[in-house]
Parts: sequence; C-alpha cells; structure tokens
Amino acid sequence: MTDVLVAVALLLVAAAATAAVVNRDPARQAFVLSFLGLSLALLFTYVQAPDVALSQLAVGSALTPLMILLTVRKVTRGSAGGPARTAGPGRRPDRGTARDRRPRRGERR
Amino acid sequence: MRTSDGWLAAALVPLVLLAPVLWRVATGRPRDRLIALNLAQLLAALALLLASQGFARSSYLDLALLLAVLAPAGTLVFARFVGGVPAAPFVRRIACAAVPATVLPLCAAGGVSRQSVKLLVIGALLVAGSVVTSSGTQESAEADVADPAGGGTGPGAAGGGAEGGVPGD
Repeated sequence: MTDVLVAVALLLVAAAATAAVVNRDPARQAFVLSFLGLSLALLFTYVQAPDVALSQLAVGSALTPLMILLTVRKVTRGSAGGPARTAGPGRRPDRGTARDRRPRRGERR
Repeated sequence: MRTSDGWLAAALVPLVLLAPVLWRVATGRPRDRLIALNLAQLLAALALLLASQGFARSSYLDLALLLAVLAPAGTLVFARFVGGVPAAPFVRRIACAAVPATVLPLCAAGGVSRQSVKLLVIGALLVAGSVVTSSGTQESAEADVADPAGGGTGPGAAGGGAEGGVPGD
C-alpha cells in the first residue's frame, strides 16, 4: 500500500513540476510552485521523512511563492511608478513584464 | 514497522483528488488558482492525517498541524495579490463535510488520549481556516470590475490597483 501511495505522490510531483515549468508568468507560477511544495511534502511523508516534509511544508509551499509574489509586485510597481517614466535603464523591467503579460494559449483570462 | 493498509488506502483518496485540483491550479484565472490552492491544502492536510494513522506514528500529526496553521495565513496573503478573498462555497462545503468525516473516525480509532485532543484541534483549525478563507470579501467584487478594466495588466498589478498598499512596503 505504501508503494502505491509513493507512486501516486511521485506522479503528482512530476505533474506539478511540469505545470510549474510550463507556466511562464511568475505571478501565476507562484501558485503552481506552492502546489509543488505541498505535493513534495506529501511525498516526503510517505517515504518516512517527516522532518524533511516539515521544512518543505514551511519553506516550499509558503515562503518561496510569497517571496516570488512580493518580488513580482515590487518589480511591476517600480515599472508603473517612478523609474518607468524616465526613458532609459528604468524601462527594463517594463519590457520583461510586457512579455509575461501576453495571454497564453489555452489559458482563460 | 506496523502499518495498517485501511488507513493508507483512505489516504489515497485525497491524494488522487489532488490531481484535478492541480489542473485548476495550473490553468485558470488567478482567483480560481487561489481557490484551488486552498482546496489542495485542505486535501493535503487530510492525507497527512490519514497517513499518520496508517503509519501508526502520532508524531506525523505535527505536519498536519503545521499545514492547518500555515494554509489560511498563506491564502490570506495570496489573496492580497488577487484583490480580496474569493468566495468559494464549494471549498467550504467540502471542508465542513470531509474534515469531520476524517477526524472523527481517527479519534474513534485512537481512543481517548492526548492524540485525539490534538486531532480535534487540527480539525477545528482546518474547518475554521477554510471557512475564513472561502468566504468572499467586498474587495473581491471590486477586483471583478477592476480586472477587465485593467486589460493587459498582470494579476499582481491588478491586485495592487484594487486595494492600495501593503503594510511594510
């Protein structure tokens, strides 16, 4: 029975990791990353490593996605506010977000 | 180590249910993703509870406890970025049905002990967290209007426009 659980959890981790790679927009990626941390924690529990799962739960599913979201927010706000008005090096983050904003195929907005 | 297959087979149910939830997390609007992530955390906590009974290790309950504490807090912080807590009666119904259906048999199997008190606390935390994070707020209605108006802006920017500022920013 444990083998079945580990196999299902492994499949889930593989699917979540693939989804995290396929999603290109960092703000949306953060949600998938949080899910990946969750499924990794489940996998670690099923292979009898609850200590690793504990840290994975705290860091992987909560801390990392939140830091990514904070960073994205900071970057987009910086490009919408101060430095973006002056043309020059400040425009750089704007270009990056414009690429990320492009709606992707098969994705509802 | 003695494991009981019945409880592990029960742990398989929320684990398999995570697959369609992953689809929702991977493809969907940011608010749908937040709701799906909320549901995924609930299902993962149930799977951890059942696994702790299946492996006959009560110390595994700490994982579910940590998840029950962290999940609502994380969801609320995520909600700031999508502009308010989205209403999700589906998640609330699942929480109110599945958590007692999982926790009460676990308590009955363990007998009256410190472990069953811990189980009840975890169950109460899970239900309370799900009820708080699945009840919609006024902000979410504004975000509905603001999202199409924002046009091409990303979800983070839309959330920032809808609610003003973040403390500590």
